[in-house]
Amino acid sequence: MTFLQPLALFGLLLAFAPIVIHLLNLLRHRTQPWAATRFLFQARKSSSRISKLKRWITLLFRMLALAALAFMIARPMTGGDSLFSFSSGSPEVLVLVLDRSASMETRTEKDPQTKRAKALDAFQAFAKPWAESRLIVIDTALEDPFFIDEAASVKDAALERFFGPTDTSADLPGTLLKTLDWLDKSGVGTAEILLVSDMQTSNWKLDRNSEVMEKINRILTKKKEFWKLNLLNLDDSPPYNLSMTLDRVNRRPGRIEPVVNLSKNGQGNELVRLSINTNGSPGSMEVELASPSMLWRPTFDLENEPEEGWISILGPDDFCQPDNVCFLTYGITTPPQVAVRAYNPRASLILRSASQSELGKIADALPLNVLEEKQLLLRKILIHQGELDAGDEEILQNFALNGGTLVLFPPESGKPSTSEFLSWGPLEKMQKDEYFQISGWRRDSGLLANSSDGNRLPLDRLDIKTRRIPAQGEPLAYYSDGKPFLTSMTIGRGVVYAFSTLPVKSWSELDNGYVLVPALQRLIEETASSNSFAQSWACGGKETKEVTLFEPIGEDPDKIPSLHAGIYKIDGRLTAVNRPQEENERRFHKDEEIIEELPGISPRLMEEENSSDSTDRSEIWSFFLLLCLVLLLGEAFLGQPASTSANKAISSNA
Amino acid sequence: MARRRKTYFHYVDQDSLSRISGEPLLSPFPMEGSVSGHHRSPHKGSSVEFAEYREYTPGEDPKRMDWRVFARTDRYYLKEFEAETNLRGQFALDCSGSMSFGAPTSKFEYAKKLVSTLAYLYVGQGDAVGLHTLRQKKPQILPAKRNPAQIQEMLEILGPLKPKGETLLASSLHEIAESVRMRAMIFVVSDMLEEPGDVMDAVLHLRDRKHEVVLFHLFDPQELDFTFDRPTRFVDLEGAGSLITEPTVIREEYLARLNEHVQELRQGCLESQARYHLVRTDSPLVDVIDDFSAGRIGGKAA
Repeated sequence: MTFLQPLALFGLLLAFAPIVIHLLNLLRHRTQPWAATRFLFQARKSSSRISKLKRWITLLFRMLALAALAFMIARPMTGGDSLFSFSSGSPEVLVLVLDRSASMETRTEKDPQTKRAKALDAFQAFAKPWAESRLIVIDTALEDPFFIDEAASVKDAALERFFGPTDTSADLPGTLLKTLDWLDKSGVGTAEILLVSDMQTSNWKLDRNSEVMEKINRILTKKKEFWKLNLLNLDDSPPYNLSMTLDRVNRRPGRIEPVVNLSKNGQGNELVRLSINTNGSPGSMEVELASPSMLWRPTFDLENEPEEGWISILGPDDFCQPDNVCFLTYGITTPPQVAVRAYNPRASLILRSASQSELGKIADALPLNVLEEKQLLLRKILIHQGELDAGDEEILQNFALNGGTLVLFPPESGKPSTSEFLSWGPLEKMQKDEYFQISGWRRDSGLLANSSDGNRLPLDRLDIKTRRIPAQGEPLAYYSDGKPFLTSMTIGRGVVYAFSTLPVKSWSELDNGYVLVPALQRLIEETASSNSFAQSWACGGKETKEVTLFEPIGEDPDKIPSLHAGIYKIDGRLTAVNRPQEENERRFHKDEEIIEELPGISPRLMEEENSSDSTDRSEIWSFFLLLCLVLLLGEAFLGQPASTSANKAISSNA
Repeated sequence: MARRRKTYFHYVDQDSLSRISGEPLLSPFPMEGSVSGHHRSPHKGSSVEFAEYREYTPGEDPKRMDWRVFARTDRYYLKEFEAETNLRGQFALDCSGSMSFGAPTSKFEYAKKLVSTLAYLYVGQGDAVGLHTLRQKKPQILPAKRNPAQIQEMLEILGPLKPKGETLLASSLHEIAESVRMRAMIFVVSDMLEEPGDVMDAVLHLRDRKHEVVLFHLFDPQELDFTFDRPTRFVDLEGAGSLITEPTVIREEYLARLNEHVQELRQGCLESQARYHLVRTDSPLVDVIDDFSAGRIGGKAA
């Protein structure tokens, strides 16, 4: 037996109170002169057995009643099927951790229900045997606990905002941790947590969330007896699915050229008809899907369209509807002013050439002797190579904070960096004919994404002889030894990219332009579109959650940008809110991979058909309450005054 | 200035006098008195109440011969009438320490009132009354007399009397049985805190001596109800020790023992043709005497 409030066990000392009171009463007796003491002596002699026994039993009952009360307050726990359990083994709280990411809207051929609907059904079945438990749903989109009266409420159309489909991604470890924090803060004794997800790897990000998973494991291990984690894996793959994501939008005079990533699973070559809606005017286009994944670069003529507008591209119905659509906006853009400040003249030349504008104008070079803030006015991108003194550092930091994009290359010298803003590791050089190799990078999006025809950038063929590893930022590309080749870091409204090598022969082959030119050009395009009156956000992202005033453009007026993809007018700017790209991930964790991350506990693996089970432990305070009442009744019965028959028999003659 | 003598006449209950004094207090058994009175005598006498005819035996007084019967039957018969005589009442008052118990009126004070009132009533109807104080030191005996001054004498003995010492009821009654020669009515006023067997032996001894015996068994209401609820140390009034106990625990048994004691005395009285009266000291005295005068042997509960 374990106790939820073990401190209350100190109350067991109260069980001795009746004895103490009894002794105190004997001490403070009163003296009564008495004539008929012979009957008292006789009475005590003959009642010494039964009456003493009765008195001790009464005392015992009082002590046991107090002990039972102390036990009740200590909230003892025992097995769910225990004889003493009167609470039908119900845990105090049933929690559904609901994955509401876009991938949960997938259906299968056998079952027309989406995975999310199945999850809600599973929760209803899960809650059925525990009618007394409180029901709480915490979903990945809102991440707030939502109390419901009965499990059937999850299917209520009025509550679709809380349990309905979304175009968001999910951070399942984060949501689970929030759930455990809430249980802890609310002082919940026993809980059954049902986590239902398709276990999409991008929703778990186990490599980045190792600390969170450790924390979850620590909490659940500590509460092993009381909080139970149940996993329901809905990893059925759809038989056929086409998904599209907007990679980027290239603005050209009089037209736009979006780059759309089309991928499919299932059938082979086919002609797909896509519905195009340009500023409310419907149209269609046909695309031949020759490979499972391809980049589609349509051209939309905007000569007869307003300068700012939007386009939606909708694919045909399949088994996962939310990933069949993408939205884009366009507006007036001005190419960003790029400046280069490099101490290595060769690097300076290469960087200025690589970052030349669409019109062929190479980037400006900033003087090396002194950096002034006015030199950065109206500039959006600054490429910097070399040491940073304290003054430079402050100016660059302010530049980034105010929305500028910084691209940093390491200083040539091996001098240890003292900068707090961005520091570099020691100079590392390879032996002759040996090179640092890049083994991994993000190919689906970002600066190093594959080209529009699907070819990857030749990062793995770059021979790098010398490097200085940036100490800050999130890696975008890795060396084979795990150290970052390129990092990015968000500061204020701006972004700082840091390369680990220089585009000069003595350092690397970055100067050949195969990697450097596309990367810098994409950066310039990205910066240009971010400065446009039209913008693009990821659904469920931080900025969408902060938005309070918005106006949905299109058919559904109930859409909200933090939950649904679409076109919105936010702060006067047309905003395309799209499903996060990571939701296109087609890899799913197996149960064992999740369980491996939680070595301290053994999560129960649920089946979709039978997701109800009795808990192993339940509270038995009700038993002690009953026991306490029975003991008090017994005590009252024993303490009843004796029958008055004897008294009645003695009556006077008068 | 002459010292004023203290009177104890308040011990005579006025309510009882006003209710009872019109009716004589009669004894159910024949009494042997020295003068004519209200009570039946074992001897034949000169009252108006016919008793029997008896054949004349030579030597008897020919004055009592019934000549009318002789004329009819030609045989000599004597006509006899019932004799009526006076009563000798002897009050035996228990003066042991246990009689001091009771509030607001102690058993002893109540007993003094009972004795005084009954004595007054008996003397008033021409009977003789006497008093025996039953105590260890200096027991007092007042022989039975029928003159009205006897009341004053009795009151002067009773008035200053204080209860003290151990109970000597049975032995004292034996002594009374031996010392009182003439047939008498013995009133025993006590709380009877002795073995019922010993008390009944003494009662039988008195009965053997042809005395009529009346027991007034006095109880304070607290003794009968025993309504204590806190732990209490009971100290014996006759020095038999003390006892700390939880009254609620032993109450049932105490009352059973008390009842057993009363029943034994009651049964013994019934068997020996003595009269038993259980008296609560919170009862009006007039009711007790009324009950007694009605001749309810054994009392209501018998």
